[in-house]
Amino acid sequence: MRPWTARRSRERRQIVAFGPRLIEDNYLELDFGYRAYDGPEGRARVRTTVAFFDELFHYTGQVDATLALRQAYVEGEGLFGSGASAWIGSRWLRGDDIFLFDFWPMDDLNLVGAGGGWRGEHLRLGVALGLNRLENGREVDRVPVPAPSTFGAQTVTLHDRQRIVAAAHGTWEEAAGFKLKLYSELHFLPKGRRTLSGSFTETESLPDDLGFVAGVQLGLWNFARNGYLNVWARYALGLAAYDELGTPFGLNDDRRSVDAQEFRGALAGNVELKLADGLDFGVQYGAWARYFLDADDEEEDFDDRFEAAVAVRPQLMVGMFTPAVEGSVQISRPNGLNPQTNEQAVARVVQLALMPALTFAREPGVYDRPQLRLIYAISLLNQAALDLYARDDPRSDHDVVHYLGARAEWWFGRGGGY
Amino acid sequence: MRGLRRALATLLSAALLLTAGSCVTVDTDLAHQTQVVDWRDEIIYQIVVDRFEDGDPNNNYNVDYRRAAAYHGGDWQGIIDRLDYIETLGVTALWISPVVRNVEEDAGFASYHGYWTQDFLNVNLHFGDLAKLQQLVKACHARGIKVILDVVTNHIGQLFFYDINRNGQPDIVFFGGGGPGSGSRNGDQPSELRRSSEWDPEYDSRGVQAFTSLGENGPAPIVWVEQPEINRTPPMPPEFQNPAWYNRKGRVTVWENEAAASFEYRREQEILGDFPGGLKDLATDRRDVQEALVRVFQYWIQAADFDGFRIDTLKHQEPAFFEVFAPAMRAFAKSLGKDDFFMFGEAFDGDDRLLGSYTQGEGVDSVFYFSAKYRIFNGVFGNGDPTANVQRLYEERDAEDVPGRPRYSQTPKQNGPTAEDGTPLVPRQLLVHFLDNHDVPRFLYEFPDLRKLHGALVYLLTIDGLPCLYYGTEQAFRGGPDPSNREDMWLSGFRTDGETFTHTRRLIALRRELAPLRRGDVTFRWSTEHTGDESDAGLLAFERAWRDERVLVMINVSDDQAARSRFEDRVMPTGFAPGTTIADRLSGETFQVQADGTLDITVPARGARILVVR
Repeated sequence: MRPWTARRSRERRQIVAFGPRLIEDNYLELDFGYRAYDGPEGRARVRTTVAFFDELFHYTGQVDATLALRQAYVEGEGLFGSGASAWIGSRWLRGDDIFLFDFWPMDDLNLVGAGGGWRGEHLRLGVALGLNRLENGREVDRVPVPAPSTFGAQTVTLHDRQRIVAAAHGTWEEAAGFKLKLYSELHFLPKGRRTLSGSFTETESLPDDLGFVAGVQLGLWNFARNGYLNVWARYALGLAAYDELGTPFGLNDDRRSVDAQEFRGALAGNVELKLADGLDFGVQYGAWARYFLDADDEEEDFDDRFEAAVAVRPQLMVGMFTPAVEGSVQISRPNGLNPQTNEQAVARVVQLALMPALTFAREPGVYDRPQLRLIYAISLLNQAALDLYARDDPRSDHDVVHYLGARAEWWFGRGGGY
Repeated sequence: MRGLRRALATLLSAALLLTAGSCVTVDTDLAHQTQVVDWRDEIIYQIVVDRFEDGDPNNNYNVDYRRAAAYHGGDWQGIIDRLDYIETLGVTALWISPVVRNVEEDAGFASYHGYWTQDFLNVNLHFGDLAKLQQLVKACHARGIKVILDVVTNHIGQLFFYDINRNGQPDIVFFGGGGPGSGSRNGDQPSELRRSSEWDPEYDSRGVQAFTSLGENGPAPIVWVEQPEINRTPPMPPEFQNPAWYNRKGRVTVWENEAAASFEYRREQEILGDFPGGLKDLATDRRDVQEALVRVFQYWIQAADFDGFRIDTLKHQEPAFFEVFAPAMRAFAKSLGKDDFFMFGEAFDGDDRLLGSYTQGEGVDSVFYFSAKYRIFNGVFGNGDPTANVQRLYEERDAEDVPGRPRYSQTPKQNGPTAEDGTPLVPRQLLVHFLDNHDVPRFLYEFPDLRKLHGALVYLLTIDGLPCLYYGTEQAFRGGPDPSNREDMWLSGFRTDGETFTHTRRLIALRRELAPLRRGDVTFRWSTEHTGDESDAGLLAFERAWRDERVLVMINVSDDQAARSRFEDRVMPTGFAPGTTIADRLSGETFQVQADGTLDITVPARGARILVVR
């Protein structure tokens, strides 16, 4: 959780697709799960995840909340006494993340569907087949039409096309602290028609669309206390090159996204060591880079860009007192001119944060929670970063930004892998 | 295996039969029959469905009694509920307002009247469903009452706009300021003010032209509007969505200064222009449009077993259209077993020649006798004009405006109406008389004197042709111009003891009793130019003779003086045999025809006599 003082500052520091999580929007996730059955032929668990977003009551005075049912599924494990598993439901499928960016660089899917897997001594396999659909005109079209047997209008869904996604992964894991994971996704959006604005009879056709992902992850651990290192490489094509929950843009002449591409590379890790009795030290770090090309054939295109971000967070652990500093750099280089300045420039944000904190844990560790944290951050934006704001936005004048806030953060566990 | 299949098939069939049996409400196999013996026997009662009786509150959508131009809740069930009242009054045929689905509203006015077609093949749910409509017609037929449907072939509702400035949305297009005289505050050299409503632009012979500040740029495209919440959606069936099926010339404006326009130009506008209110004019000279209109209105004969059509806005269509439409309707009705399918049209015009022109050829069987409305009912009965005008107009029926062709056709139509003995009836015999209707102020509004109304009713119900009585007349309604003349009938309480109801009922009963009043020839016995203190001032007398029966009708339109059937040496002749004793069926008085066959009696001021052999 974070205080309201953070709320207007988030965008200021994020000029890339995935900025530091240091200053985030409010988010609360309630994970309800239980083991429904545990027997010789398998186990069953039921899981429901409810998430609250956006503003808190104290900021709006509205007795309202934005919430989502992010997961609701049943999974059977150890089926028939083997390593097989199967699940059906709504599920958020994720692998490993870059904690400092709140970013899953290789596998992060939201699907309604089914999947299964197999876990051996070293090898883990998993597949999932499902669908998702977003509330945008490309995927759903609800329009009022004359009611058939009464007066007035009724809203009907004239067009509802779901994105079908198949995903598969295989992981080889050694208990000594090594894993190699291969990952892929296939996206398919069937063709459809949607109505033109203000009409329920005039329609335009929407072509089908495709996407593909191939990724690889190398993971190492056990080389220091709580130490790990994950390195990823990922290539996405077509639909999969865009944010899964976003609307593709910059389409090709066929109005399809199949020519879009994204290359990602990322790493994340942590190292901790004991300095003295009651004094520990840890470093979290993360970095990623991506090169994105949309589906149109425009070469000097502001939508096409190279982006990268690096963050390092050293932290002392003096009993409950766990102060930290975090430094980060974000850069974004578009392939075309900024339409506002008619210049092609590299936007950059450098941020340094001081975070005195109290952590409530029996053993020292940078991932221990709950944590009460004060934050002071200073962000330095270059002119190209400021130019990303509208000229009339007051933030476009502030190349140095100070942020003072307080933050509470806790969790009960993590899940989602399959 | 074969046995199992057969058993399953039997079970399935039984289930289907049970299902079908439990939900059939629409009679898809109506037994169509000829209901009419002789259309001259019929007395038409015009009903604006929305205003007659609310028999089903479940279809009361957007009902607002406070607004005269809103739906008020009347429906077909309401008419069914009041058939006893209608039967008590004695009328024999109902003319009901249009039944098709309409655009709900336009500029705050609702389509309660039914003339704003959106879907030619579906019912207006404000009035009920198809099953209810069939039920109404059947219930009427069971009582010997015929049902005439009001149809609109000239236009559709305001379902498209002319995109004059080509911005794709309906606007009031302005260019220029027009200077201070037009409200402009600025401008040393005021520009010309140009303004046009894209909903209802003014008539342009070339077709409505698109224009911008740079000038005209060709015919304005039309854009179908899609507002499902008010059912303003493209017309149905879909073939009516072809822009070429509309004349697209804009709204008729010639009536604003009719005197300045030639007859030919006035007729061009009336025929090709949009009806005021933005009602888009169908290009009924096109063969495909004609065929489509034939198809959709044949459907209604088949679907609901109507006995005739009242055709709206007749004078806004080419007579040639009816040369196709009317024969097709007659032939279709005949193919269903309905002879004597009757069509009469509304040419809202006092021009007797124009009215007559629509009765020629194979077109409609009759027209509303608007010239009689203005010259006789308003002129003579309302204003006290000379009764000679009545005879003059009657005689004009035979005027040969075109050499060798009487003004009102005397040529039978193929498959047209016939008399009881099969003799063809011609338009001249079938003119529809009315003293008011839903488009004109009620008679009592223009002439607030019950005596005048009662005298006019005597004429309406004793002259030849078909009398058409507007609902509420019998309740002495006196609403002004549309929409004030479309009162809620239920406010009358459907009383049957009122003075005007009693008078009307009595006249109707006499017409039904006395065959000459329905079928007899007309011989004028007295009419006069006198409107002063002359002995015969205000007297009108005519005889109706049928076979060996004879009825003499005498009406005095003078406000304050009895009229005598004698002026100076001239005494009114009659067709009665000398010495015959005749009785007045209204007063009960008796009189004796003189030895020379004349009759010298008086009629009280604003009084009338209906004289028959005692």
